[in-house]
This record gives sequence, structure tokens and C-alpha cells, in this order.
Amino acid sequence: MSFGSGRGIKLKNKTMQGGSIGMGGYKKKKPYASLIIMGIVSTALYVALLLNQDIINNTFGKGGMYAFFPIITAFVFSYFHGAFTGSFWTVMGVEAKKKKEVK
Amino acid sequence: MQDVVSQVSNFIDLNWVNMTYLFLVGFVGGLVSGFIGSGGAFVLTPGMMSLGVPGLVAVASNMCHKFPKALVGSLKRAKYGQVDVKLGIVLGISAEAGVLYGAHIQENIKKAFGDAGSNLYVSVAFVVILAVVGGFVLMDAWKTYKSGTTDAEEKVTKLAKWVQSINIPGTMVYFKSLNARISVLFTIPLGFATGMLAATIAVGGFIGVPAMIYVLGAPSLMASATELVIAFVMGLGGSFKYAMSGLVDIRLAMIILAGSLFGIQLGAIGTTYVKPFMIKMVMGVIMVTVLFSRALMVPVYMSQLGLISEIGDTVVKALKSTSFAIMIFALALGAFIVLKAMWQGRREEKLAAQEAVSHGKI
Repeated sequence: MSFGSGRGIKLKNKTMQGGSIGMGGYKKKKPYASLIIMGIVSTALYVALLLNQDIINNTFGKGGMYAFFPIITAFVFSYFHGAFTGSFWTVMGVEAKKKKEVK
Repeated sequence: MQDVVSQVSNFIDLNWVNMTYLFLVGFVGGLVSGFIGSGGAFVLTPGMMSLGVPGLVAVASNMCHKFPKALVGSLKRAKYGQVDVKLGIVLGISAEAGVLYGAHIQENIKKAFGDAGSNLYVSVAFVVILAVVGGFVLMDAWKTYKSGTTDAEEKVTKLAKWVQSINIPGTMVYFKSLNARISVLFTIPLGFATGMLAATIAVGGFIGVPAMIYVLGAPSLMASATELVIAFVMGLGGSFKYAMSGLVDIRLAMIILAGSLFGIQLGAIGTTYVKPFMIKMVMGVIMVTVLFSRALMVPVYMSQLGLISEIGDTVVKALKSTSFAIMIFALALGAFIVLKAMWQGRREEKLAAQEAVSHGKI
């Protein structure tokens, strides 16, 4: 399961996380697809939550074993919205510092 | 249980204004949390209450946004190699016990002295702990800044060296953030205290992070990142407990989460640009500022308990508003320092990259 930076290129040594132009001079793809897909799913989740708020509140507010509902909801939202926000900052060009490797 | 469930009817109506407000406070809270490992909760709970959300629902909903936020933040910071999962889980479990005990104490105080007594206890805990720990953290950060050794590797304190030197057979565990084996008999009380503080003032990290740095000997960046794991463990357990009583308003929690996930990603990215002492600086500044906010409320609760002469309604209102304004200021100040430090770090990196390119050309 991957939260956060969407489909940015993963390098084990963390030298280039996402990013536009690396130290080596090559240009990497920005996670536009992740941004759009996760953005649509995330928006859909929020729209569904707000359109059905009465039913959801009544069900989730019952307590007892219904406690699993808000917990699962929180995990689902964090997965999709987390991936969306991660891709958002990458696409905006806000990325982690590129560490230079010491050879 | 029925009494508690009946409070569910107190779920407020949401409109664009209060949703935007929660989103923005969530964003700023998330930004600070992503950077120092905690924070934001002390503004969110009273912030929700100011919208008419009952106290317990505000606490529960805040907690239910906290654990998914901490999960996303810790996964992000784990990518930068800053998280010690084992230390986070070990401290998180004992913190969970601390939360339960802290909540139990709160209930007893409320039963014995009413709301004013409970509020006074919370405010005094805020003031004393933030003055002692916050003052120490801020002084340490300031000393580092003044000494010009901000680039130097962080020194392990004498206390942490001593803790790491104690060998209690059967209790020793290796933690990568400390690069040492320490006895869990030291981590348990620290986790417990973190949980108790979380149950009292909603921000356990004000104990957890300094404890990891000064008592256990973890680097600031790793301590603040590991705090997110603790917050996840504590928040998950706490949310479930409140949800069992039907107290979580999932709409509030998810709207705050919407903003805070933007913030926490940004705060986590920010940690890769700053020098470690900045973590202490931001944490110390927020703690010391918040302390004034709560100190203002102490006379109000003392007067309600009859410990001092009565304070007029106008003065009480003015003190409450000022106290809330200072809390928002504390959070905004923390966010400003984070963004400024990040901006500077990015600029320095760009300049260094340009310089390297121009050198290459020559």
C-alpha cells in the first residue's frame, strides 16, 4: 500500500523523490495520472459523505460494533486523499530535497 | 451508553463557512504536525467547540482525523528514512495505556469538581508542562542557533547516554534511531506520560518528542517522525473507544483530514530542507506561545471554583477570546516558521545546484 507521493519514481537511496530535473539532468514524469484518478476518487468520497450525511451520522453514531465504520472510513479516505495530496505537491513542484550521494 | 448515544443528535449542521474553516485549520495543523510530529489538536478541539460541537464529540472527531493523518505523515517521512517504527510502536502501546489512565483521571476530576475543575486541571497541566518542557526545548534550540553550530551533528545528552548505558537483562531492545539498546523500562513511563498528556491537552507530542530527544537520545528529525507513529497508535485506539460510544462525527473528522493531508505532506517535505534544530525551534515557540493562551484562562476557572473572587462576564469573554486568538496565533506562527525555513532551504538548494552547473561549464 502506498500513500503519499503517488507514482513518483522510487529510488531506495532517496536521492530523487519525484521531481522534475534530477542532478543527472534527466527529466522525470510528474504523477498527473495519479493526481487525476485519486482526485476524482477523493472528491467522489467527499461528495458521497456530504450527500448522505444524515444516514451516515445515524449509522456511525449508534456506537458498539458500528465503531468499525468510522475507522474504516478514515482509512479509506486517508488512502485516496493521501495519494491525491502527495501527487498534488509533486505536480506543483514541491518535493523533498534531493540528497547528493557521497561516493 | 444511551446517554452518550443521545449526544449524537448534537451533530451540527455543516455549511460552506464552517467547512472552509475546518479545512483551513486542518491544513495548518497538518503542516505543523508533518514537521514536528504533533500539534494542531489544541486548536482543533476548541475550534470545533466554537462551532457548537459538544466537547466530547469535538475530542472524538479530532482523534479520528488524527490517526489517518499520522499514518499518511509517518509513511511519507519513512520514505525519507526518518521513522523508527519499532520505537514508535513500543512507545505507542504504553501511550495508549496513558491515554486510558489520563481519561480516567479527567473523569474523576470532572465528577468531583465539575467542568470548571476539569478545565482548571487541563489549563494548569498545559501551563506547567509547556513552561518546563517548552522552555527547555526553546532554550536548547536558541543556544544551538546562537552558537553557530546549526550544521553540526546533534549531541546526545548526558541523560540519554546514561539511559543507554543501563543494562537490565531481559528488557533490552535495539532501536535504530538511537543506534543503541535500551531497556523498555525507560520507554514505558515515557510513552505513558505521552499518552496522559494526549488525554489531557490533546497533544502528547509535547512530551513524546522532547523525551525521545533528551531522554532516549534520538535525533530531532527521527523523534518528530516517530511521534507520528505514536500518534497513529494512540489515535486509532482512542478513536475506536470514542466510536464505540457513537461520539465520532465522521463528517468533521474527514473535512479536517481533507485539509490536514495537504498540510502534513508539505510539513513532511519541509523536514528534508531544514537543519534539525529547527524542529526544536518550532516546537519550543509553539509550546511557549500556547502556554500564555492557557495561563489566561486559569483565573477564569479559579473564579468559577470560588478559589478567587468572581470575575465579571465581560472580562471572562475577553479572556476567552484572547486565549483562543493566542492559540491560533501559536499555530500560525509555527506554520510560518516551517514555510519560511522550507522556502529558504529550497532557495539554498537551487543556488547550490546553479553554482554546481556553472562550475561544470567552467
